[in-house]
Amino acid sequence: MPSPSDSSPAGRILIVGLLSGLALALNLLEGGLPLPAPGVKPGLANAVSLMALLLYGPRIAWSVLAVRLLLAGLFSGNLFAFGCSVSGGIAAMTVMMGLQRLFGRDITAWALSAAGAVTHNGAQLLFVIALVGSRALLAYLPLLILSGLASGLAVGLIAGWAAKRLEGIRGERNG
Amino acid sequence: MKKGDKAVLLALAGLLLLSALPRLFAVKEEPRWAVVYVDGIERKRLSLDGPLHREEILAGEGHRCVVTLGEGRVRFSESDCPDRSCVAQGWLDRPGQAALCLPNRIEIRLEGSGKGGDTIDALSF
Repeated sequence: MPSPSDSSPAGRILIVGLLSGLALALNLLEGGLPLPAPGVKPGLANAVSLMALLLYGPRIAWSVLAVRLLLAGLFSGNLFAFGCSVSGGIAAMTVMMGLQRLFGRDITAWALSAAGAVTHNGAQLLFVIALVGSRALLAYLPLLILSGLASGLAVGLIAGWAAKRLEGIRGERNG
Repeated sequence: MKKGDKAVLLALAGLLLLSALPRLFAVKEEPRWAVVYVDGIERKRLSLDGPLHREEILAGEGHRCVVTLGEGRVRFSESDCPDRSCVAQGWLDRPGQAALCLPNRIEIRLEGSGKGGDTIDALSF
């Protein structure tokens, strides 16, 4: 994996391209899975956002998120799904970035991820409520929080391990 | 566990509890009405008494869904939307439950005889 100290424009483009591709592939993979209920899903692409944040910082992470949202939206051509993932993705990234800034080394990847996943689901539900104007859908929130918590923890553990591994590889090469 | 981890877990647990509160205190009651919303606006209020019958619901741009209702329950039975997950949703038979056909912007919500029961157990996009 390229080094984060590699701040040349070409290096940044390479990193954003690699991670965006990875996120899109995971997105596609996840799209083939049967889902128990609408909005309940593993959120694998968020693992990539989180890795980008952990390894390269907010700037790269936002770029990867933007590319992923835009391309996934174009691929699916579903404006409603696009609105859902944009509202969820931006809210989740804002919260994860804020928590990382707030706690620094005092927070683990899985906690960032869980907070991000729950925020994602909550923001998505708010988007749907705003769209259809039905406040009754709020009753769906507990299920979405619970599923976000579970999938966020799992995805966060994976992203944390992967980031650690990649950091090791990078250290060997540059060390 | 680090300081930030504990804070996040505590906050999320609190959020979960808070969001589940209305459901914990929900009152059991019989479903009486299937209320149909199109574009978020109440269109029809259908009684669930009587035998099963079908009712057509027209939405914008020529889209339509058909619901089957009666005997205290209701479901989407036909829809011209692409994924038809509204139909896959099946029967609703408790007040507060709702099913949603988002492509056609049609929502059916079950209402009971009195107050409370403003909960949803499942919905479908």
